Amino acid sequence: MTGNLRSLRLLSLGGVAGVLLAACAGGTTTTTSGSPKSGGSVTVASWQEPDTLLAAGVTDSMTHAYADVGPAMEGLLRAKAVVDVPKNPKISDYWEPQLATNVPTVENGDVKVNGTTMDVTWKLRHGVKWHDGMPFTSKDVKSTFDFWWVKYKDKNPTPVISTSGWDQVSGVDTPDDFTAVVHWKSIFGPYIAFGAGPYGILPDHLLQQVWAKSGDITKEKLSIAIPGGFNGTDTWDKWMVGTGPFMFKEWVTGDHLTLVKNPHWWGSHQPYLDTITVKFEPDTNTQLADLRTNTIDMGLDFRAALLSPLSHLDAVTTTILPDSGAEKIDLNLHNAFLQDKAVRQAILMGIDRQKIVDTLLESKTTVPPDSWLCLGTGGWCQDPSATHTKFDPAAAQTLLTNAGYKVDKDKCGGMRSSPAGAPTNGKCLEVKLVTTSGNALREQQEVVIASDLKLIGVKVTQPFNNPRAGKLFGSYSNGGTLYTHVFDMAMYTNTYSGPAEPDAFYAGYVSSQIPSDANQGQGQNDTFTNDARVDAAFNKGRVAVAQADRKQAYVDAQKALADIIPEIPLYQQLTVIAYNKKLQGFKGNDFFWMNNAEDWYVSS
Amino acid sequence: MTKYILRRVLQAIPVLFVISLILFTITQVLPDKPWALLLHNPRLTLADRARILHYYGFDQPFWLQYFLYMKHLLSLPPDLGTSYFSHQTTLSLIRERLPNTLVLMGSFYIVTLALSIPIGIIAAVKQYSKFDNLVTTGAFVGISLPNFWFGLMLIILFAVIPYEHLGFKIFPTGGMWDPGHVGDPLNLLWHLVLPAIVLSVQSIAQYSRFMRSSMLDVLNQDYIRTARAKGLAEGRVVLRHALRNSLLPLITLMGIEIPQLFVGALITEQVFAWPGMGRLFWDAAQKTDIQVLVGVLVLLSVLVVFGNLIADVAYGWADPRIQYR
Amino acid sequence: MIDPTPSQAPEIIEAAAVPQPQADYDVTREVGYYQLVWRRLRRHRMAMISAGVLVFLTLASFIVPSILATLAPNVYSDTPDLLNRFGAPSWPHIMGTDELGRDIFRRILQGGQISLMVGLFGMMVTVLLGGTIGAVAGYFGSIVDNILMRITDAMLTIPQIFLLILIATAFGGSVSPTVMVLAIGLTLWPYPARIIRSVVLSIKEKEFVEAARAVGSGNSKIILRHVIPNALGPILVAATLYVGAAILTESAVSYLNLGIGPPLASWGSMLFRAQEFIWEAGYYALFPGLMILITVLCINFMGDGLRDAFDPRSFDR
Repeated sequence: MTGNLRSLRLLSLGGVAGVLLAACAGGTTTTTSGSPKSGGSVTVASWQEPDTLLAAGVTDSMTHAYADVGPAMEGLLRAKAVVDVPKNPKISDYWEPQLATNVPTVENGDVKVNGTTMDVTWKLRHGVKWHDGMPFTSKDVKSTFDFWWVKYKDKNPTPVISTSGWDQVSGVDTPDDFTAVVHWKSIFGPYIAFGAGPYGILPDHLLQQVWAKSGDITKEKLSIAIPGGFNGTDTWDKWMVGTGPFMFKEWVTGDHLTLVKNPHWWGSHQPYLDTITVKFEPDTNTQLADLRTNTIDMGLDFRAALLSPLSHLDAVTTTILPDSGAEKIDLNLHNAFLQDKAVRQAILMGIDRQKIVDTLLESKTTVPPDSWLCLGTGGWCQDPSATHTKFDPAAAQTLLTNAGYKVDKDKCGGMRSSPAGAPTNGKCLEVKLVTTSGNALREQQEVVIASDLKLIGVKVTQPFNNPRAGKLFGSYSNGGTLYTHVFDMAMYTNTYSGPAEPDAFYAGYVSSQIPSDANQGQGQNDTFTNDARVDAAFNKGRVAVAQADRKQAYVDAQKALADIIPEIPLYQQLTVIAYNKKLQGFKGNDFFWMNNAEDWYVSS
Repeated sequence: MTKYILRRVLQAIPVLFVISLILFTITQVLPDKPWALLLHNPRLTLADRARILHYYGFDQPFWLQYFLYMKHLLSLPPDLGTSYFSHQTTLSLIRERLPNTLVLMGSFYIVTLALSIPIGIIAAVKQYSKFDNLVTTGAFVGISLPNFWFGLMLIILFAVIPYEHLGFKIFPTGGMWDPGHVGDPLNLLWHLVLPAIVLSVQSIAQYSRFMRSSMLDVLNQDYIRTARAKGLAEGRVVLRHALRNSLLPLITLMGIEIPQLFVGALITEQVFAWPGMGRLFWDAAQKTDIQVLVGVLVLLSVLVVFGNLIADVAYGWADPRIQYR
Repeated sequence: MIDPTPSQAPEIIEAAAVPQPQADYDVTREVGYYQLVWRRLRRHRMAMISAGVLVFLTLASFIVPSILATLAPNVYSDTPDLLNRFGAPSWPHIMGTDELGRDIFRRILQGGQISLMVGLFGMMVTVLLGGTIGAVAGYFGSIVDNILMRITDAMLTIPQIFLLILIATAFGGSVSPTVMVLAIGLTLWPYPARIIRSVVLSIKEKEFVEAARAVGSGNSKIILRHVIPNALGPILVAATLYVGAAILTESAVSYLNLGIGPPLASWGSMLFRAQEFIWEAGYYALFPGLMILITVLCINFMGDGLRDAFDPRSFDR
């Protein structure tokens, strides 16, 4: 409950549904001593219990859920740990083969462009078995793609978070048991993430059982027998059958989830641990206490505020993973004041973001460039000449004064009044700021920002009247704060839904994605960004496969966005994971926290 | 007796009916509608919205929706709605959590009665003594204590500070079991101590005051005077003759207290990460999962009504002076 | 939570009365009812001390923060001071500084404004709503009484904080003090409704009411002139207790992260925030909790004193 609701950060944004992964500038520390030992168990605490185990992109999109299912469920590719990503990476360098045997690219010939369509060939690993003993084959790949799109189009009875991208798939061929060819209707740049990551591939034999009934995997009960693991009959969201190094054993809701070693795992070595228990502790303070008292071995996703108490724990290693996204303030470009670029720029200059980073975030992260489109795993497309606006209240004051906003002691209590004439017509310069309610860090930021802006004569309405995360991020059709545009400034974090893929923000910036009655409420462009340069860049980035072309597109997008200022990026978001030093072999990954559980072991 | 019980059950029905009407009306009147979660996905279009609302019948008039709601509620097995988040029925969610809350409440009754009865007796026998005054003051502090804060202080005192200075924790910070110890009663007991204290502390104060005055009433009655006059030892008079009758009002109090007990359990479960009904409710509140919220409230209300009924019946069973007609 | 049901609170309060055996009223002098009540109240040492503490706390909460900000604006202000976060208690920050470097002592007093106001107004809404419903039910009887009392029973059956959470949730975010006050009133009203109904029922049958009716007084006149003044004692006692109940309820809901949002703070919401920083600043959680405890304790002692003072049995002694 400790506020960190950031994981509700709209993973559904770009639509790359089931994936995740590594950052560029790794702050990861991996201490290894001695050789791995078999045996032992590890307890990991998570403050957010998933509602369903069908997490990865099917019905739910929480980062914690990805972590929980990570050791059991696999995909064609998996996201590399931060430390394993080479310098100056290509997009494909963020991935490594898992159920496939190599990463398909244009260069290695597995991606073939034919005019306006393309084919991606996946070569599959031999000798892999599902936890219930069935062999893994190309049928599983075909059925998974069928499930997402081909079979149902957009009428899937199972609530699917996003079908974007999947709707570009025209079909899957299986020339043999270990080859699957995915046919794309268009040239689709972000192809690599489809079928990758945890829950990337679902078991064909179970999908068939559900399809024989209603087709809704959240409703149909199946009987499941995992030797050594879960045995029983229930709907898919109460268990999971994967191919990973650990098998699902039990889920006691409200308390814990148990994963046990898979002795038949396909990897080069058997997993070292016997069990991994995920304990659900809603309060990260309790997690900190339990970490001190050795009740848990690892805590996922600590608040930045706990960095300093964590640093005092001798027996604990703290890993800080920079995310591929930023904490930022969206500006509503249709707001009477904010539609004036001078005001937006003054706000950008008037907030001491470095001070927020240095104090509230313990200097563990950085202030991003003016467009934060290519942070973290997006480093490959970072604009080399990106602008970094500095904190300069004097310049902000001058800017506002020159734009006609005069300090008005009588009418506005020392704040500024706007110039005469439409649309603000001399009114006092006052804007509202909202964020997710109950999030301690954000509420601190809110107070600090309001106090900074007061110094340049911009009044922020107080009290803030923050909506809960569910309300803030709610859909247009349901009156969500962001998408019905009923905000002036809104502070939250947005990050990629898949590693290294800025296409995730297509729906956030492109003008056709401004939700309105006219477009049936589609898209997540909450700021009313409507700019031909941005539209062209995102469309170009989507339909290109050559990395150089894609990079140029996103550099153009960054330049345009930095010019428009639809958002104020505050800092690069970060993930904090802390674990007992006796746990060895952990490698961090900012999307996917329990990525390499087979390599974990307990030293004496 | 059977007739009486039957009549009480029949009396409970209108109350439950009114409760359902109140709760249903609240969900309709408040800003966030019960279908909010169904429209959670930011990708839903307006056409989707209309389709979903129609599918679930939310486009129908109020009275018809209430009628359908009651029809589901009164069917067998009762249908308390389905969480649009976890896709589980409210009933199955409750079934997972209710036993844990009952464990907590059971420990509450044991701790409270075991402490408050002796305290109340001593305070009554030694009326106006220092002990009595202490109990009086304690009762006031007890009912004024914010229990979430008290729980927090206990965690610091019994888990954090001992571990920092002694290297071990006297009691755990929260949870119901340690991993690998699920089902171990000793492990459960160890986890239960602090939550049970927090849940009981206010009631120990209240129950012992209640016990004290009830004991004083009985001690002033003629048959006790007679017993004393006959030369019986005071201890025997109190324990043998007065105790039974002075316990009777406690039964009623226990019945009336049930709603408060659920409230206490909600907060205790939150402080100590106890996976019970209160946590289920709180989690649902964080997500605005109104189906679960209302379902839990309906069930709790039923439990309260029947808890009161049981208390009444038990009262009559314990007190032969009461006759049921 | 304090249970404001008459079934227990009065029991405790009655039993907790400080024994006052000596007769204190002189039959030879005519003494008014309220004079007598006041006299008895004055004798109740705990109630008088508590009243003093409450008056002091209220004055301090509403006056001291602005005095501090005027006298030493650099030390005491609403402006965050990020370089002085989590300062341990020391001079001039006698309770230390909070997560934004603000003085906790002043924040506590400011929080007191919200907590005390929510307590007071929460009580008023509760008593007005419950009083009206109870009086109407008791006075008119029959069907009206039946319907209103079934609703009251139903409301009493629903665990109160659960209902409050349901209501707070539907507002979709942090709750303003006004909404909090209304929500508290909406969930607490059945308690006074029951008390007032029973008082009205007993008064209704008294001769002076019948006399008034015989003279031709209308319903509203009888209620206003005769019933309410006579019901004042029990209402006053209960109302006092509801202030404490409202403060505790508000703090519990705020603690559960469904309460009053920033930059406002009540003691409960401060506690919710302080809990986050228990490692950096353990003292931070101590003070808001202590304030709630002291305030509610004093209110309960006051209620106790009032009960004794109004209790007709104690006049006989």
